[in-house]
Amino acid sequence: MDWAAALAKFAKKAISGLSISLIKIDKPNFYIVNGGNVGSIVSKGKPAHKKFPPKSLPVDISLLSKEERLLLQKALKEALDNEQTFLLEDTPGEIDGIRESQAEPDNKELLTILQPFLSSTDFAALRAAVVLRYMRKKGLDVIKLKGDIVHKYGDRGAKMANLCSAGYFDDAAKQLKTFRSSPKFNADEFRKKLDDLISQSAFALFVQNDWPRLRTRNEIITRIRINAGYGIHQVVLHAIGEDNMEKVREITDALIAKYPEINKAHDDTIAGEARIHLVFPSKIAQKLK
Amino acid sequence: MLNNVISFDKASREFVLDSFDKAVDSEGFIVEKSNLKQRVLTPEGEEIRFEDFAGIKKGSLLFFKRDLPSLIKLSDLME
Repeated sequence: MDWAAALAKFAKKAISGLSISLIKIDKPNFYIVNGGNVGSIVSKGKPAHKKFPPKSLPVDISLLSKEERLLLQKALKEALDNEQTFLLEDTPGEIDGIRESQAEPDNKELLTILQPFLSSTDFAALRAAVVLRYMRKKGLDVIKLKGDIVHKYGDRGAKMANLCSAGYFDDAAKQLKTFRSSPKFNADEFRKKLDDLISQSAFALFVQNDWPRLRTRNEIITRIRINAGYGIHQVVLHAIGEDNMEKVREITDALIAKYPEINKAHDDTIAGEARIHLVFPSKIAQKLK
Repeated sequence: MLNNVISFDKASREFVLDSFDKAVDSEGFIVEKSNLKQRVLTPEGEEIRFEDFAGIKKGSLLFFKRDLPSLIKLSDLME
């Protein structure tokens, strides 16, 4: 049995009554539906492909007899044997988006450069983080994607997603490009540096939208204390979202007013994200309350 | 645009799974129709909830979830 011919035969039922001949589509993408979509389109006399991706040919199982359904299932098995992949609606578009994100020149370079210095799990997490960043830049809702990363890669994955969105891995890749040809370059040291960046998120604090003001202030103070304790005299606060940006700016201004030793080196808004770079001396650790 | 893809809508999921001798158990996981106690696993060894089911690919028979890491893997396998 030719699976494509069988599916095309069943598709005829779904698109009967239309003036255009969708059956003549060359190498169509078959779309299995169970009532709803096709019927409503047919009854309104609109082309069936309006609601489907280009070159789609709908097969409506609700229109098939029990015998026809069994024949269709046989054809589907044969289709799988012939390298067809079965994907839930919207999934092809999501996979296209993933591919676009990985093929984007800057992302491709970032992933290629850093892959040898990351474990396979961290590299997989970085790829997912790159997708998330790409989708966020396109203005899409990334809450589910972030949840997927946390579910799969845990707290470390969440940190990597934050660091990636804030451009830290791009900075690391730039640094690597500059220094890897130097005789002093040590691959193991760079690997450790990347690991420290991820595990400690040393210079950064990602202020969350749902942190109340008191928690935000405490998190900033804690990060300054930790960094000062390690001899790191700086922290970069990241905040996404208008309210979040306003909150963090008000809190840092109040801290600076109370502790003049803390200085704001930079305060920028880049692609909808506030980046506030604070610098401070070691002795601040004892004074902060 | 992906090639060699047969799409299906949410309402057709059970029909598609049934085509490949799979069913859904009382807890909502995809299982073998011939053995309802045997849950179907992703290539990474994860059980799949019916609600998370994203697709099937040849390679014996590979089932995928609809989360970002799974879709990245599926994308790689479809290259």
